[in-house]
Amino acid sequence: MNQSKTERFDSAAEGVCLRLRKRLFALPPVLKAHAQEIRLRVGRPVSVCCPEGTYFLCDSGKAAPFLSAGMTEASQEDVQETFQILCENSVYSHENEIRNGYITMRGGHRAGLCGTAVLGDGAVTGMRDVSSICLRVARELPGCADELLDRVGKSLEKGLLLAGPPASGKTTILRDVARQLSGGMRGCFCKVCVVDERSEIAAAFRGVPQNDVGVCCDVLDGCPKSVGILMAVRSLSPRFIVCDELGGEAETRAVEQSLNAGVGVIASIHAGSAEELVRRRQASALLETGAFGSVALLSGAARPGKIAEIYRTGDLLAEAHRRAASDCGGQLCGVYGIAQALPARGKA
Amino acid sequence: MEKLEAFLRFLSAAKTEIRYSSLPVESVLRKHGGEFSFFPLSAEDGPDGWGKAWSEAVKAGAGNEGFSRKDIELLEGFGAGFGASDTQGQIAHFSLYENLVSAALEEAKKERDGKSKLYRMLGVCGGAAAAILLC
Repeated sequence: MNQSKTERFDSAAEGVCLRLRKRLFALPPVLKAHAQEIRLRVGRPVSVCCPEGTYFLCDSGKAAPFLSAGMTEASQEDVQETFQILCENSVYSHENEIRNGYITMRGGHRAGLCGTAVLGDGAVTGMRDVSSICLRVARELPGCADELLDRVGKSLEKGLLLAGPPASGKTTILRDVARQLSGGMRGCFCKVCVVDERSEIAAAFRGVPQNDVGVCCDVLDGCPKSVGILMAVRSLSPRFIVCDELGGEAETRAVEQSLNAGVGVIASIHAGSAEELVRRRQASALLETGAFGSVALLSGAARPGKIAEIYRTGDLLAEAHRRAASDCGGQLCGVYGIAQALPARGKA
Repeated sequence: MEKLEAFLRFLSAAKTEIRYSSLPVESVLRKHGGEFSFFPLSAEDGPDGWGKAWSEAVKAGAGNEGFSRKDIELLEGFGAGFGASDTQGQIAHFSLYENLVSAALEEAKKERDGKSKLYRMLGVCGGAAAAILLC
């Protein structure tokens, strides 16, 4: 868990086929340290994505930020071999993950899969002819939830909803929240249960969390949130339940039931702003359960992990109701109303 | 024949393991393949990966453990599909090979019975011939 950034990259590259792996290992440490993704696409150059841009692997063993002759292309065999390595030669063992388009690797890295979907009864049952693989290098940022936990303080026990757009750092913060609460870094060792439906928070591999989620943390891996929340309440007696990306009706019902069991729910949801959040029917339904005392809004992909604002749920709901009432009266409320009105109260 | 029976037991245990716990190939072999020293417990990386590792291990070690040439072909065919599909596909694959191994076992039993009759007859004839010579 204390692997350096280059070691993290190398451990992710272990999942790539032998031919390309050797070239990835040989990349300069500076590039490895910045790399966020390794991308393989059949018949196209292998690329390494960094925050500053994309680099393409060259036959010479180097990487270039532009396309030229002599680029290392991934063949069909390379992608197929990589898929087999990621599956540990056991496709059935990763069936549910493949159905959802990803495979979790040892080390907490995730491989996103792209190919031809196999349908059965109207649902995706598998994937064949894998044509591209996106290997996301896992990264932990211990301490990234410090600001959030300091600002929310004791209110955390009343539940916290973390809202933000994609790539704003929601999952990374949730992971650190779980680590700090269950690791005794916030006063006492709290019993935390992570309901990790897509193996993104703890990234369990063969039952062992690959990310540090603290000593008093139980992980329900691969379990649907709506089921896992109730399972945790019934059998694991947690003080906090942590889960990612709430949104479905069944999940809202599960959160509602946990509310009466004395459990604090810490969850995330997609929303670009407070206005977007209260406009979403499912988000409003979640807030109205009363399971979340506060809502923390993240800045966005440009500043991952940065808290833009913390709102009291009651204030958000009141604003939503006021907006709804004014909309009924034929008046449109300014979309920036909440953002301007609430920060001062949130900070209080 | 004992080895074929042991392989049939392995197929049954592994099928249950895959259906119930979805353990990966390597763990299934470790857990249930103790009777077969030639089972590969890890695959070398490479274009042929697991399939090659299995095939080479079977060719190199199955003969020494009492499997016939026909049985070895059966084992190779089994390894080619082990781990290559989803749970339903694996259960179908295991069921197919349970049937094939059972049939091979039946054949081996018939062969053994036939041979034992032959040896018994040879023994009786030999005894009678010895008795006639001695008289």
